[in-house]
Amino acid sequence: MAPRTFVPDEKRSLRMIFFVSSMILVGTTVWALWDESVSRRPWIKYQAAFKQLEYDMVRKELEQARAELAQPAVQEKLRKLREELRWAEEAKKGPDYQAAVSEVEQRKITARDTSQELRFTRSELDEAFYWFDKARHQGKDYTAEEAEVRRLQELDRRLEPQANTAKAALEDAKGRVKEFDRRIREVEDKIKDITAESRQLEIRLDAIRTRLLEVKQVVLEGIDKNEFDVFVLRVDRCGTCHLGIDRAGFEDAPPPFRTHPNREAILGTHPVNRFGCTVCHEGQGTALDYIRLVDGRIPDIPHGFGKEYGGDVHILWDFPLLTGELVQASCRKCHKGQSDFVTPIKRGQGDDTQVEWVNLAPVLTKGLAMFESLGCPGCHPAEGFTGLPKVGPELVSIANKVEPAWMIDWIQQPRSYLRYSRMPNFGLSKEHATAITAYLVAQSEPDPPVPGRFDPNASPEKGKEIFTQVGCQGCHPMRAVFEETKPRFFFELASRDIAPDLSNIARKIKDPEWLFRWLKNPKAIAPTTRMPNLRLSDEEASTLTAFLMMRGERQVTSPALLAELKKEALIKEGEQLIRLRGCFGCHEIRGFEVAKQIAPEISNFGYKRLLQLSFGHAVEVHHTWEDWTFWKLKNPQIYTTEREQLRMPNFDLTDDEVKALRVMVKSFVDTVVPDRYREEATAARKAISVGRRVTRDYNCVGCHIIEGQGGDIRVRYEGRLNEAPPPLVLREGTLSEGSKVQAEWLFEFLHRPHPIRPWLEVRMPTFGLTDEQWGRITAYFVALAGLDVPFESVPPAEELNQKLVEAGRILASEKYFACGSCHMQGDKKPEGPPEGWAPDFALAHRRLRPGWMNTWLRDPQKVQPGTKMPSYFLDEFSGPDDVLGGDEQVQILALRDYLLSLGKR
Amino acid sequence: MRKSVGIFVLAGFGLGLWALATVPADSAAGGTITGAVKFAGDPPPPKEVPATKDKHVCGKTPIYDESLVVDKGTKGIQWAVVSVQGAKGKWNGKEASIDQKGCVFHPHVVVTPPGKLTVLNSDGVLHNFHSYGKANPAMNRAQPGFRKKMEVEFNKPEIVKITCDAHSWMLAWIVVTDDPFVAVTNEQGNFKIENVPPGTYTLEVWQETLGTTTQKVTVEAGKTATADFTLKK
Repeated sequence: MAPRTFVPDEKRSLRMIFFVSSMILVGTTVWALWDESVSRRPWIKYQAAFKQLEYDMVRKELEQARAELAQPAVQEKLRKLREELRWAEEAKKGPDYQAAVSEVEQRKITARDTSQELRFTRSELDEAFYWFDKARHQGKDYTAEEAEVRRLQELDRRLEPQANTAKAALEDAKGRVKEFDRRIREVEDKIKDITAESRQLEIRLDAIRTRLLEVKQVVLEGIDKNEFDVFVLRVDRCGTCHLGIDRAGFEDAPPPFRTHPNREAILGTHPVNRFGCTVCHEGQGTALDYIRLVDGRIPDIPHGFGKEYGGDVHILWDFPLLTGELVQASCRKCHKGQSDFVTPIKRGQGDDTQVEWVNLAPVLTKGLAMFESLGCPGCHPAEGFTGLPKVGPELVSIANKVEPAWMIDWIQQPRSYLRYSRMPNFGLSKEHATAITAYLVAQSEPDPPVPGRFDPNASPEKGKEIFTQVGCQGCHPMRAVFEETKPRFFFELASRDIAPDLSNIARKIKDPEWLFRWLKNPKAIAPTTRMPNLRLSDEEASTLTAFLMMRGERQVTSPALLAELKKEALIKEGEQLIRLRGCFGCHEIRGFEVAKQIAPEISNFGYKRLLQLSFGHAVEVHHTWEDWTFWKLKNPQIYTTEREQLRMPNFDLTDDEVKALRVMVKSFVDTVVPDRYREEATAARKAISVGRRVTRDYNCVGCHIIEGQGGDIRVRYEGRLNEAPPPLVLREGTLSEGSKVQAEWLFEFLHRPHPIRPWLEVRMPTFGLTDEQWGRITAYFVALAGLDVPFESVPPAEELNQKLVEAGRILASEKYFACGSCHMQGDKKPEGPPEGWAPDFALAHRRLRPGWMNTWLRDPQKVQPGTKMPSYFLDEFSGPDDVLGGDEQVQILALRDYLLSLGKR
Repeated sequence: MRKSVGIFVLAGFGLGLWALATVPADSAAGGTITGAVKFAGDPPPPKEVPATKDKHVCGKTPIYDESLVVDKGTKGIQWAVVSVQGAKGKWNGKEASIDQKGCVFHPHVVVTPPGKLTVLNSDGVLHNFHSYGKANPAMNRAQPGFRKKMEVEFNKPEIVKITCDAHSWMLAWIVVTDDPFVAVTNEQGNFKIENVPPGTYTLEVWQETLGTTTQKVTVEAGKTATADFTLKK
């Protein structure tokens, strides 16, 4: 056994260990530094790239500015100015300047001397006066003192102008000296003006060059809460890479540097430093690594199916970044009551500025309109959509109207009868449809009597005329007879018709007499209907009925079927089916007055987690919220399993419609945005939102152009637009019903329409709305006109300036403007055929706003481009010289006052 | 030998003169296009329009529909607008005007260079000058009876429809053109366009109810080219 050698620790060499461990330490330090500064800061390369981009941009501008400076004309101008400057500076050095300066010195002495003398004299005068006053009071002889006072007073009078002159001379000399400096400064300023742009750009360039790379963040308070329900700060660092987002000039830059679309309109009202980005765009605000962290989706192996949402992705967490049109869903976090997001945007500069009306959230607007009008809230409880009228017709007296045989087919396949119907397909079997029909027939009540006598022999040709004249086509298409290019929905927001196509109406109608009664007074038969009363005479309604009853073949119900429908068991089954499928969500049905909505609440659907969504057997559908929703709307039965029967009917939506509805559904989130981020909607904004809804519900826009949209019926008046319903609010002109007519008149008129243009065949129907509804429409027009106060007073006839009224009468007479050539005035009708006439002057004082009449008379074409009313006052030769001194402005007032004086009060 | 040189010199001189005379130094050296625009088929009989208004003025002379006027004998179409497409030239200080007389626009078709157009009212009743331009801003100017004359502006070349809303039958067309090579056919359907710079052009004829027809035409200096059109409904 070899002796154990003992080496004491002190003598052992640790060099190797020290060396290796210190190398590891050095390596770790280097790695840590590298990792910290490079690999964990991917944003640095974006900032550097943007820095370069901006630098290049400014340098280009600078080069341009310098090139402009280098132009011979500019250089020549600069040379001259510099010459001038040199002269001015030399002049300051020259003898003239020296002379002027010494002149100032001299005059200073003179001025000082004279003013000193004056002051001394005045002191002496004060003293002399004291002695004089004292002597007089003491009753002494004061002749000497008085003489002294007089002498000094005389001296003062003489010295004062001298002192003033000397002072003025001094100021004058000083001014001459200053003039030298002023000239120099003036030239310097001129030189600066010319070179200002390039100098500013140089400063900017310097600033860019020396700018540090740094994380840019916005801190938002009061939005996020932690698990303990305590507010925590939200931090958005998106601006670290999206550097051009709130700056003009980067519209064409590559992402992520591009300017935000509609920047001024959107970021102008939602400044980034107050709102951040994730409030609308969601995603991870704190993250600085795009793909993995901000977006939350990473590319996945393609499945071939379900890639309609931006390619195949694998979701890393529940609420990733909202991209594309889905961002629009965020608008409703705050703007809950709004029905659209149309905003005026100024384009161009200076004289070329044009205001363009842009809908900033068009997909959401479409989704919102569809959500309401397809009746989604009828089954789905949703916050903000309670208490809405049912979208389908009431069925409480349906048996009087339709053939049961037709109804069975209809319930099974609505779209095979009406291609653009809003009624969805429930996928019912014939037996089930028959059962539902049985219940609906059984619950039906008799109609109340409607006065009027139906003439079964009325002429259908006459009826066709009535159909085209009175305004039926404002809402109803009849594609078999009249060409129709597209579905008739509010502003083409969906491929649906607002009212049924009447091409095949006779197929379903059981009894022509029912149709006659309906046409005479729809609200008497169905109080909740939106169909208005067109005030048809018995004859008109009879002929119209005759015309409509020619459209298609009646689908007669066999006696056997009638007998079957009376079976108690079938009726009972029908009731259960109606309860199961929720027909009462859209239709009023007896026995279901208090039934609850049948479908799940969707008030927070936008934040549904993936694990809460059942994909059933639909393995092809990609596991994302977007895909789940898309396919659910496209085919509501797709996630049905043996355990869960889904009940939602198929609305037969196009892909675009599904996407719009999906944005709408995404907008249902329970986020409570603090008040400080919300601007309380102004009264006007609210009035517009509410009013717009009423005008859409009752399809006012089917006939009238409102807010520059609608007026569908006008295609029937090609070449004779003056016979179409009048436009009410144009965007291109300044025509706005609210600024045109008196609010009281409008409210009255809506309640009881009376002809204003008697030559029009088309009729303003009686809608039979409530005071509240009409009040909303009146307020809507007032708000659209930008008026705070709805009323405008009209002076009574006797308070008008009689001289003006008389002058107006002369101006309106045949000798001058011949207004009566077209305008009616009470019973006085113009010559010629009525379609060439214009509204009654006698109505003006009750109908028109005096202020508007001025604007209108000044230039009607500007108010309503293309109107038949010609412009009378376009130049200074317009008015006759022998009335009111030829002053056109006074003549306008005279005409207005004359019009206001007419008519019975 | 000398003689022949002299002849050459003379000939050269002569050639030079000829060249000088034919070089299109100004439009006077152009050619002329004439022709007729005819109607295929039976000429429609003149249609009288009843004056329903201001009869004391409008009812004095019968008013005829001028939208398609065809001469019975020659079948020539009046009021067709013939224009040489692409020919460039300058207007010779032409000032156009249109009158409203007997509640009819006179003439029915006016050719005018861009700029001011004088509108006369010889009737002494209210007329209004309502234009439906697309390139030119639409206008609707009242011309009350006391205003015998007013000026309107058309600055862009196009054919503008004019109506009077006070008298629904009144209709006129203003042909605004940059180049002066536009003619309107007369009662026999004949037209003549002079001083057209030599070249081959598309000749276009436009008639308000019959639309547009074209044909090629070659213009030689100092000569007259003929181009006839036959339009049908």
